Amino acid sequence: MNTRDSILIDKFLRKELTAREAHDWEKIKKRPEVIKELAFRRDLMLAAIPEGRISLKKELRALEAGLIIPEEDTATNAGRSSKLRPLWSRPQRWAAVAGLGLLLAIGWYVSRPDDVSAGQKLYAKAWKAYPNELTLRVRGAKRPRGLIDDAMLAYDNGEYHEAVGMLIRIAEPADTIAFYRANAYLAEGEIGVAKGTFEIIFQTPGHPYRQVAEWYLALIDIRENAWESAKTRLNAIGNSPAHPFASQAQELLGRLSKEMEG
Amino acid sequence: MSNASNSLQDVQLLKAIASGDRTALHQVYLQHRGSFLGWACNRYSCTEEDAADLYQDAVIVLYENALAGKIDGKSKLRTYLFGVGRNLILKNYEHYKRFADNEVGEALDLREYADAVDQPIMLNERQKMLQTALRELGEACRRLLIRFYYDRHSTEAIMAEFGYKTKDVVKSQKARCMRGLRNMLQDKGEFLM
Repeated sequence: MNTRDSILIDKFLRKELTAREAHDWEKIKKRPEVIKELAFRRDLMLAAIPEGRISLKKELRALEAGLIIPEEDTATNAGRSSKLRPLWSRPQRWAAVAGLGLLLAIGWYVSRPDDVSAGQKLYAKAWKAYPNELTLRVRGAKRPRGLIDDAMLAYDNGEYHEAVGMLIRIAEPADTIAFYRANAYLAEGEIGVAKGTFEIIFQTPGHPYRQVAEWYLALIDIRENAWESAKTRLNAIGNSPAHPFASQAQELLGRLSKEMEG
Repeated sequence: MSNASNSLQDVQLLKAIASGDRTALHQVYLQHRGSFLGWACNRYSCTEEDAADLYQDAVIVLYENALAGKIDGKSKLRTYLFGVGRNLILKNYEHYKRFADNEVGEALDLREYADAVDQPIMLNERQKMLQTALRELGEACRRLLIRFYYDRHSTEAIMAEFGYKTKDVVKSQKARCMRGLRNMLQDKGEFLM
């Protein structure tokens, strides 16, 4: 299958053939390898629908939670600002700031497909979702059982998609919810969203999860093969004896150095 | 489809959404969310959580139909979303159906939008295997293929989103992801192409 035929198949499926391409398509469409490839891609298009819907729904939830700040300019913006209904209350401003950080971190940034090897392997070995300390705190405060408990139960059970769905609906306590939401997003592979939130947490003096966020940022750097940045963060963590991940950072630094040398 | 006149803004937004402009989609989402939730909660006694979920589904229907060129542009986007929402309630939420029995006024007009809501996607075994492989492919490739085959983004749009320098890089990455998908299926011995 040559590149030209491959492009024609996609354009046919997407109904984007020009008159000339349609003419070319007529010439190749009965070739057995083209028929086979067309069937494969048609199946892929259908298989992509549920996945695409899940992704879009996550995106809309992130938008709703203030993790994506709507941009001002679009095809039209007449009267837009006045019609926008504020979606985040005061406690959720933190999430809005996280969204701004997220945009600065290039929004829905993803690592490139050719960087899937060493970094991802190291990341997979080192990553663990941060244990749930939140519902213990909530219970300590004698709050009635609610959405927060269900969300954290899903989190404890590794049902991160469900956890995110609930966590984005909870406004308080804003600082800790955002931290666990970022963890759940990270577990779900939504790296850009998670990274943006962890960065904001890390930049917030006095945040209860500031140091832990630093550890997860280092892991994200590793996943994205940003070796130097990861090394800097891990050095900082490893050289702080009081850091909860100091020993893990030193160990990971050793493995990272081997990878870098290799 | 309703004959209600459409505003210029809606036409422009629809065009922008169809061309893959995410900002336009976000704008529509935020613009009608409040009124939709209020309407669904009052009219069908939905919980706010169900109404929010329903609204997201309605926006997804609007998005897919905009991409497929199935929205004729005669309706206001608000009416379209409400119509889709109504029909999603009737299809998916058994316990709210009883509130549709005594519909009057605008709600009757909304019945026209039943066709906008597609039947659920039924995947055959082969397609289900592909869906699973797509999930396991790795975030970057999964996202790239979804952008191409679901969102139908242009090579230029993918280039911008992923930070690739040329269209050729997009093409080679896509080809690489397709190879990865095939290899994954072949490794599982479930799917030989």
